[in-house]
Amino acid sequence: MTAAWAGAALILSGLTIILLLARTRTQILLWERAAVGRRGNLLAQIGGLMVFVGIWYLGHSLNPDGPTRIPTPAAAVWAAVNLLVNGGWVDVLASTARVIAGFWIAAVASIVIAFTIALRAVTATAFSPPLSFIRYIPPTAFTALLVIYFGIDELYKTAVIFVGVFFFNFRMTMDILEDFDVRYVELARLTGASYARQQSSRWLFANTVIPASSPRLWDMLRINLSFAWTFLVVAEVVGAQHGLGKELYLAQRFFRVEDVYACILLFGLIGYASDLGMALLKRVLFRWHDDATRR
Amino acid sequence: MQRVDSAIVAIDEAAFAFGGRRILDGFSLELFSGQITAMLGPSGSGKTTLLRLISGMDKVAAGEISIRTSPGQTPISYMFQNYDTFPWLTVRRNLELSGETNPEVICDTAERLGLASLLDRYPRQLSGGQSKRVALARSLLARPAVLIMDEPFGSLDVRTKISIFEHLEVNVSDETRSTLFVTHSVEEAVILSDRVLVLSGPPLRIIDDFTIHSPRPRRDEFLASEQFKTAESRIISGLLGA
Repeated sequence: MTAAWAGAALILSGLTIILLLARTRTQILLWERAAVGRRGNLLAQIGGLMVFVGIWYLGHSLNPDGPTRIPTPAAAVWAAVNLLVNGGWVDVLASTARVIAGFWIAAVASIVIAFTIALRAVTATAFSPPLSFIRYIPPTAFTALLVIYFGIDELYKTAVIFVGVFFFNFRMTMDILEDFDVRYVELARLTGASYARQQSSRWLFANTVIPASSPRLWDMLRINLSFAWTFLVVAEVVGAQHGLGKELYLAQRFFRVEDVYACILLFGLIGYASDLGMALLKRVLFRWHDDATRR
Repeated sequence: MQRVDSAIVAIDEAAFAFGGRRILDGFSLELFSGQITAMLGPSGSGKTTLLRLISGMDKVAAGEISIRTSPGQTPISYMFQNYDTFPWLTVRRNLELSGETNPEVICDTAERLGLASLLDRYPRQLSGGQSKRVALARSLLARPAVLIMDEPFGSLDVRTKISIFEHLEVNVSDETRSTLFVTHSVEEAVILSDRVLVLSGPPLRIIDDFTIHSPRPRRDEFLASEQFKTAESRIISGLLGA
């Protein structure tokens, strides 16, 4: 009963903070977030977190015991801390390393292949349909094949993440390139004394298409990084010595509900941290871009 | 007075159609060295298409467009209406794209156009007028045979406009170059150009073509002169009849 009251109190307090902020800042739209102010944004985030935790407490009050229980947020956090100090950090490291390897190999391969294909209209027309067709096959459908070809060791896990991310990246990169504003090419062609050099497709591609597309490609990678974590869980269910996905699977198998929540919390935290890292890197890498100063 | 002796751009019976519409049909024109030519005409008459054909972005379906250049000279530099800079390059790197690699020359041109303190900034940190000046500096550094400008002064304040006029007047009226610009401002055309073309279309045709003989710079006194008023009313009559 205490948890229910605590949950209700948190939800009400959080909503009050958000509504009070929204009432005094009615004219500020999503895109003008900076105008809310640092303190205002922090308060809004705290309010949102209170609502989220409050709902969780309410859920716990509805189902506090038994094998299908919902633990309190505090119990889940405590379980996560316990997991980490009792060797779970090795699982976190192993999972992170797998995601980094699979995701970045897929990122480089998909972008390089998409750019190579997009360089010529004929190759784009020829290869886009089959690669787009493959994209519609659920990546998990390939896991059986990947086990056959790569076994169940590290190569298999990297391959699952690679397949899971590659086709999304490829199609989105093609879309970004098709959306590219060709007027930059015209401007580059007609802007300089290095006239012959600036007529070459290769030069134009390297000096207009790549830099102009880069911020959007970075945003694409930021979005698709979450898919890499999704497929990590699929990959680690099979034959993993270490990994958060393996921990999650074992915790579920033995009804260690708090540990299941702990793994989910850790996935969320690592994902949030990596997203934050990508956003910060965007500010450094694309200082010229209008959006670089916004999150 | 600038020399007007030979055609840098020669358009001979050019034809071009787009979306089933004839934009140019047997259109001919010569642009001469040492001249600034202004083109005025209703929106959609085909002025920008003509600029695109001269610059080689589009190809004529019939006829011929030829550009005479000195050995090693850049044929065309084009100042677009809305696209003047590369946002991912600093002002300095934008200017280097002109092909000019001597930092002293770049700094000197930047200084003359009031860009010296902005060389390490990105275009998003510039005002509209500053971006236009970057585009002009890059065009001047490229030393093209033909400098094309599509409504270059549309969104600029008077001070910026006058400062750009001064640089065009000093730098562009030489015998190795012809400058062609599209404008909707009668005043800009008369103040800046040696030759005015009033156009109608499509298909594009020349309604009036006349020369303005008056020393530069043309400022307050000229604006109050009979010559300015005559030129102004001649353009307006042409445009009303277009």
